[in-house]
Amino acid sequence: MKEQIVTIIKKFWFVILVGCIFCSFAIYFAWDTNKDKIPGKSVGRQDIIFSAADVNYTADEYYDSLFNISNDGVKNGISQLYLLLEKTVAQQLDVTKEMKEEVKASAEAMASYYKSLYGTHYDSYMNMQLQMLGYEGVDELEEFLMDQTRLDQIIFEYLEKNDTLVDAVFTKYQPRVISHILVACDDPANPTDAEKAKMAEIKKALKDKEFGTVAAEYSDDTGTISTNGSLGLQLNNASLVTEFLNAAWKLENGKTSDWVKTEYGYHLIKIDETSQKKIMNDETYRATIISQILSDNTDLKKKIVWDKAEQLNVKFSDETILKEMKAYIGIKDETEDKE
Amino acid sequence: MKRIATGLCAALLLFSLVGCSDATTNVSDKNEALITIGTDKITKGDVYNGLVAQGDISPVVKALTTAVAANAIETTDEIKAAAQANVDTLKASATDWEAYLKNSGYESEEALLEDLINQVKETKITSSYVSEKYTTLATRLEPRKLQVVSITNKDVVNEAQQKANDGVDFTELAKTYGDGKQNGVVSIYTNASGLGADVWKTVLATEEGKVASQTSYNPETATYYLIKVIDAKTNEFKDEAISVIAASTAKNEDGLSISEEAFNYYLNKVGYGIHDAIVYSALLSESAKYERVK
Repeated sequence: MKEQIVTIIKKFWFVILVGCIFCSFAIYFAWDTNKDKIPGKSVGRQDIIFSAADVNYTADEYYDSLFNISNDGVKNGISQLYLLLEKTVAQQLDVTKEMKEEVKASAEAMASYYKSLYGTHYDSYMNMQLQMLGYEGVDELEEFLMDQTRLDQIIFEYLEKNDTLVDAVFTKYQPRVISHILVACDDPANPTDAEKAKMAEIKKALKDKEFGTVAAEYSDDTGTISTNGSLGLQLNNASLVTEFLNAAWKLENGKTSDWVKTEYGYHLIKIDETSQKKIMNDETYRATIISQILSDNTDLKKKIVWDKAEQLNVKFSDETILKEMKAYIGIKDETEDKE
Repeated sequence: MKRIATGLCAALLLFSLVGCSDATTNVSDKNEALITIGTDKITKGDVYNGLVAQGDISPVVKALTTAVAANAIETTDEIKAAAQANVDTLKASATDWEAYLKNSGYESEEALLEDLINQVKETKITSSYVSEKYTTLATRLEPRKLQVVSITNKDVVNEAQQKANDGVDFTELAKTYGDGKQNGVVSIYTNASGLGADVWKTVLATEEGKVASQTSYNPETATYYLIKVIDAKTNEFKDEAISVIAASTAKNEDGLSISEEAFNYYLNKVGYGIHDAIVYSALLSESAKYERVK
């Protein structure tokens, strides 16, 4: 046996030598790669977060502490659970091809926005934000945006059945789609001859051309040139200069104002749409209205989600959590009434 | 033979390339469903991941501090007495003691006492460290027992220095010439006490028991200093120096203050191991004192 080993070693000494060197490198490389990694530790079935002396601080202890930390009287765990409920309820809705395309475009736009804000580390910021909302990270950005789209759909369906909320916003804020043409002036109180000439030229052009075409051609408001002068849907609480706001809400649908003087210069204002039906049929405008409804009714979104969850036969495994969730959403607990 | 060698090498190569990822944690019953909608479940694990991602590490910091204080600082009679005094004060002010304990999350008075003992021990971490590492820290911070008078009025500096050289008491000089900041009382100073580098050179160059022959000046504060070195033998005023060094905001070469350095020292001394990469990253964002020594 010994002779056989010696014979093999003599015969294959070079292969063995190369093999040993290679193995040594591989072992060193493996050690070097892993030496700075955070090692996991468990005791029984419990994951350990840190150990110091005889103390093993477990993930279960951390969970209990985090769950019970209160912010404004609401346990962190309950608000986190609500976010997950919102996500799960949204995910019960079917997805259309249009929704997928829309979400893909939004995801690309959002990623670009974060890149411009945070540079190359943008993904770590997005990861953090998405993980707080119950997503794995940036890889699930499209899933997150899809859930938001589905959530908007749920809210819209609710509002279609409860149109008094929409009516209330139209009564209170008188939403309208507005366009304008600006002739910017250094001193609006004393417009120069050139500025006066430009205003006259615009008036003349409006006799032959559409308001939007003239706005794109003449307006000094760089922010609205690409939209043919349109400011989109505005509510009467919009952050517009007072003179503009007052003039715009005196106009009827389809009408154009005379020159309105503001700190920026002179504006021609046109009301493009005030019809509730037409505004609600436009997806972008509808989002503005819904946003205002949710802003005016702080717990409404939670209640809509809860309604949908009940329709989907939601079940809680813990009565205490159910009670706390209802309190968080603002729903009266019927069992308490019976007691 | 060749096949075995090739197989072994391939296995080793694979092992080395795969490596291990940083560990993260989850609750033991992570698959327990808290909410069910159709076939979808919201589990405790999902909630845990969301809560951890929020980055609130205060419970971990509290537990770490408790562990360090409990294991690094000896429970002396003095500490027990201080904690008991705190219990007595709380008890005297509480209208319903049992309700107070319950509302504060303590099962019993003993549990409160234990917590308070630990809180007292937490306050001792830095001074205990300074005491243990006194020689090293004294070499670094150069504590000296001095009398210092600070003067901002340039016109009186020379006159004050002459009086100091003539042996006039420093507290008297401070009353006559001082700006009220350094009042001539015998105190412990270190090179991080804010006198300035040039002034400190004068301190180190002055013999024990002598008045510095020249007034020194700190251009950053536009202040002149009269200095008398009372004691330069750091072991003779160790107890006083310990409290001064412990309160110092001086940073070491790693950017840690004395209190952070002390915490990190004891943390690693009690066998600190961290096993969650997300939590560790959040801890390090708060302070380098939570860094594990490899």
